[in-house]
Amino acid sequence: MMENDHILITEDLTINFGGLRAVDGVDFYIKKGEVVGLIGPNGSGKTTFFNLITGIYKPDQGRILFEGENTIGEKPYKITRRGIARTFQNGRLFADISALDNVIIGMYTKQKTNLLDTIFRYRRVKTELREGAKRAMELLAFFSKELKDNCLKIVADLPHADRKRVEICRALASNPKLLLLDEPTGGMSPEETEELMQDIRKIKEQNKNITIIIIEHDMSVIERVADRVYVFNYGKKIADGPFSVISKDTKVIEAYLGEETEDVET
Amino acid sequence: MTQFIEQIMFALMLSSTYALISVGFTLFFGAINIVHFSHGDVAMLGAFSGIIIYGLFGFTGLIGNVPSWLVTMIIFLATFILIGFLGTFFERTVIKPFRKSPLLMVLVTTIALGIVIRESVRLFYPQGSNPQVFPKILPQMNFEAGNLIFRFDHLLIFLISILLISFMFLFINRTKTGLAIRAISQDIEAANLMGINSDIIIAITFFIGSILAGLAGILIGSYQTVVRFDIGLMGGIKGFSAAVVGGLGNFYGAIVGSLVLGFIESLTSAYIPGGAPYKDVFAFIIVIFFLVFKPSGILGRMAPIKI
Amino acid sequence: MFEIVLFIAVETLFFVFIYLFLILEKIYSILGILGGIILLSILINKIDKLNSFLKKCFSEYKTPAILYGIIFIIALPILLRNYPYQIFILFNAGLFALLALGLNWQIGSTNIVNFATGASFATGAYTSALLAIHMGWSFWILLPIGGLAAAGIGFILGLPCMKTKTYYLSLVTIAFTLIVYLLLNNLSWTGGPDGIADIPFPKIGNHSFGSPIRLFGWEIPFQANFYYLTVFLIALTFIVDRRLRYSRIGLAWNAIRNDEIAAECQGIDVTYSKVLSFSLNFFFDGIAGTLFAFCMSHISPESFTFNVSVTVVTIVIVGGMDNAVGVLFGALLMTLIPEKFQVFQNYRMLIFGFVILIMLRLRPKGLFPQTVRKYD
Repeated sequence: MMENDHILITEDLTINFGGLRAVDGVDFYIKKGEVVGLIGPNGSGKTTFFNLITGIYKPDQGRILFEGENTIGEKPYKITRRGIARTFQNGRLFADISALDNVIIGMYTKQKTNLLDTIFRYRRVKTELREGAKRAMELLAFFSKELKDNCLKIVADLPHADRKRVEICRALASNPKLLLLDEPTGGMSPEETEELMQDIRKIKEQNKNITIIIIEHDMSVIERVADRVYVFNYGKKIADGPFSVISKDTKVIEAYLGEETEDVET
Repeated sequence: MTQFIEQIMFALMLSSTYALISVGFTLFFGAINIVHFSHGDVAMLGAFSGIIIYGLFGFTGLIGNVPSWLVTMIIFLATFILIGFLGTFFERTVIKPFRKSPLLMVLVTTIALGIVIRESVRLFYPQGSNPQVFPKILPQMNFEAGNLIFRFDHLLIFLISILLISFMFLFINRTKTGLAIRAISQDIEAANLMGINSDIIIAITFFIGSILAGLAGILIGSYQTVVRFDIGLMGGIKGFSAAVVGGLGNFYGAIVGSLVLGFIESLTSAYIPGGAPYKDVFAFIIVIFFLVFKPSGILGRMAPIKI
Repeated sequence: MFEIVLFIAVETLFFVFIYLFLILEKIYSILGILGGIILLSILINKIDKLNSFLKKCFSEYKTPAILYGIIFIIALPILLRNYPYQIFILFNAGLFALLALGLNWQIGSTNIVNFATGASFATGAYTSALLAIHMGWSFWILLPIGGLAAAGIGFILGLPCMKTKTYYLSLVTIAFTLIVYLLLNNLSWTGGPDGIADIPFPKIGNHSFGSPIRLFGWEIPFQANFYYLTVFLIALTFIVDRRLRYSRIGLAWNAIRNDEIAAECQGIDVTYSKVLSFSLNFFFDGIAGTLFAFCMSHISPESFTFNVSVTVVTIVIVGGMDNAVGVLFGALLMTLIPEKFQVFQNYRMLIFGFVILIMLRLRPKGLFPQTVRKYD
């Protein structure tokens, strides 16, 4: 396995939660610039996989190599600083401050001022924040002009789809090398989903080097956006390859339809 | 040697009274995930209600006429009912409205409630800021075994505490209501869907916890012989600390934690020279140690957070 | 032109109210003035025309309005030169404002409910008092040292606590405050229940803070010395607060307040941020403590109880979470009003308890909740 252009590799990644193997011996790799889809029934370990990569959980077994370096045991904020950003399945925004503030916080790893600067050399801090605000508004405008106009609204007051977009902006704000999207179209209407998909495509076009792993339940999104797809079930990887291939894989079909056939039999 | 055994007995008794309070803390935390900071003050109210009721006997001249064991029983029973309802009242009015609020708010609310209770007693009870004498409602005899002198009332306190805790344990583990309480502490939504009226069950939980606290107040008053309006603050923190040390949410943990705290307190004040005023400090330091290094306590029962 | 005159008139009216509130003695007069202020505030709130007019004026003539306010604040001790006690209670209010502004960084910005203000206040006071008496150090050196001592305690207290959850952390801060109180009361070198006495007054050149200020033939009571110093420190704290808020530090705090895990995933070192909030808060508490010790010249453990912590927490909750102006207002409210209604002094804590319960129920973000950051 060539490790040079593989920006992320996991080997035999495993984690137990009190007897339940949430992620079970997963081997995974993604090349720089790829968009990889991650699908599977609910509870198959996809989000847990993300949590392992970002350091929120520590695996019981296995390796995680980001740009060739083992990241196991590093605290999440350190892993983020390596250039990984993510969104969350249920959305974890900073709800009581403005959308603009949320996106500016996304730039935290790229900002440089410290306590001393803040108290004694405030001009630097002011400039840094001003530039951050400008960049944040550009990011928001990328998705929609309305979002940019409403950037000072408290996030809790924004509609669901806008909140999802703000979360993606926040993740993009740090110019990450690896972007993890956890069900970005969750709760969106077909029109909104279509818009978001176009936006993801635009992101890819503007950032040739950005690598994306996207968890999704909406197969049409995966089909059109992903270069390759991994399929999880009960924490194990049961298939990987291009969408056209895995969508015909019997194991994959069973995994998704498994419960239904049981019902039919009883 | 004899002194050592007597110290152990005292420590056991102390621990048992703490257990009455810490079991309540663990119960509330387990059931609805709140830390009821003013639980100690509810215990204080129990002590004061004991004083008041005894005073009523004296006031109505019944003291000489009613056998003392009956007086004691009535005091226990009346406090049982009074504090049980009072505690539930507090939950309905102050805690319930905040059930959906962030934990922090509930915390500050219960702290504020504690202040209101303490200050009300201090201001509205005659001479409230002064220590109050707690009547001797337990038999004051000693009996000897060899060189050891046992205080009968200490023994009684210990036994009563154990009895109450056992009752509560049986109630939680062997009755249908107890089952409902356990269901709620596992998953309140699921319990609701199964037809359990979680609202009523929570009220019952508070009733039970408050009864224990109220009776703890009487027992503590009995061996301390003096009570003050602010014993609830210290007592509550100790009770909570015991629950944490043993493992918050874990019934056995509350017992274990109370033993740890009770023993540390009594042994340090007995055996470390000049240590008596600092006994609380030792206890708190142990607690801080646990909170920081082993927050799940000795026995542990921390639910994992879902991301 | 008319606008400016009207605006100045309204502001002057407020100042007059405040002045009268401070100097009047009879309960009914005080109630009357208080009622007047409340009425005026309600009128301004309800009558939209008045509301928008004042808002417009304030944004257009912001600088002169603030300048006018500053002049009033500076002139106040002169106006109160025959009422030394009133100047003192203003100083006291200022101390609580300093304590609350620092605590706001923890409760308001980061959502850490810290009940240890009594302890940090005490650390600053006792450290500087002991150093002054045993080593003869000057007040001006001790001011930052008291702050640093308290900040050190804040660092030590904050560091191991970072893994603990919110409610545990609060318990630890409460226990810590009680421990500090117990220690102060029992240790011999802190003077026990009697505390430390004979702390000397600070001096600037030849002027001692214990002597009145002589200006243009007026004799302003010595309390004004401390009043002015406190006002100056509050102004500094305001600047620090504003800078923290509009910096990645303040943003990180708000992130932590909402969602610690998401904050970590933005690259924020949550532990560092929290410890920073502890240290900064305690630093300013320590400074307030030093100020307190040198003004009262005698300190005892009774001034550093759990109730003090509760008072400061109440001020932040009532005044406004994450809003410095609101907190300042809350401090004035919670200290000046009980002072004027001496008859209620005994009921102070009881009222605070109720106030917390009511505020959390009706207006959990405080009277002046936080505002949105604007970047123009």
